[in-house]
Amino acid sequence: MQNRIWDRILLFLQWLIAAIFIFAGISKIINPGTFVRDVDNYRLLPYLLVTIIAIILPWVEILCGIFLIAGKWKKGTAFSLLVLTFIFLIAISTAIARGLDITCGCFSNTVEGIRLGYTRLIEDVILFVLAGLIYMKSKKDQ
Amino acid sequence: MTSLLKNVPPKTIKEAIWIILVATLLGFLVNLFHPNKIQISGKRPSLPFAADTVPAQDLPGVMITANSSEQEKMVRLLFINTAELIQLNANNQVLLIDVQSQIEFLKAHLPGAKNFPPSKLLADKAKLDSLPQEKWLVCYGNEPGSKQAELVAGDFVTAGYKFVAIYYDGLVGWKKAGYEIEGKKGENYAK
Repeated sequence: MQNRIWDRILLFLQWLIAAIFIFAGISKIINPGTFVRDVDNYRLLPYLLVTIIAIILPWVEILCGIFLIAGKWKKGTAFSLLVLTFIFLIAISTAIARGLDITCGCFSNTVEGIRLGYTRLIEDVILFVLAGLIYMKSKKDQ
Repeated sequence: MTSLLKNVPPKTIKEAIWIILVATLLGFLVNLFHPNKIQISGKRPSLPFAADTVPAQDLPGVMITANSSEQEKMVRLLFINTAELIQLNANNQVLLIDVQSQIEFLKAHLPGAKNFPPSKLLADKAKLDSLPQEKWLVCYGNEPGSKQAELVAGDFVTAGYKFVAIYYDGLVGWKKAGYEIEGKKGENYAK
């Protein structure tokens, strides 16, 4: 009984995380220029890599979201999300540590952007934990 | 990390790689037909800097294109670099607006800058009215390309100031260029 409730909660969280990533991906595709600038503002990568990542990353997010909802390639999707959120965590942490006054680039559809700070870091930690839970579950279901 | 990856089944990694490959294909395909497509280049596009040779008074002002509603005003702001800022400053035509938090401002800011953190700027009419209309209000933040500086500059434009610009390089760029700063970390800290 308890397992069933836990499974349902996890399924709900899975759909939630999928919706977040699909929305984030679409918003970046709509405003590619803003997203390039947001990624570039982190000052972690050369500009050529920034442009390539800005082209690919939104689609990785969207595909992960779609696959999560569809329940296809569950392990690979969950693993991709885990890696993705881990990379975001590192990027956000280093930006905060360097005192960068930038927007996070998580949802590039807002003109004013969402300012980078500890709130974003906490949100990303939550996403990372959720991705981890989904990955563990998919491994268990194997 | 390597040991962690070793525990991941090869099938999982294979699926993840497929996701990235499909995303790459879709990304480049969509970008090809996107109206605002990303130009793949190793060179950062230059910012709309005003030419160094243009006299300060003739620098293009800020343009506002009013849309259907007041809130949807599109603000195009002028970005200037260090050389242009110095040029403007030499003619005593600049009031520097530092958008950092008060604590950060006290630590370091450009000489003569006033502190205007972004929050509630428009609501503080007395503070807004205290600024000169005939000078360039040049907003800057700590980092180059500060979004907060853009927000504050936008607020000034909304409040009716015609000469508003953003010093893109920010405090970091100013220090990097070797110019002096004021504040606890600076050389000219006013005691």
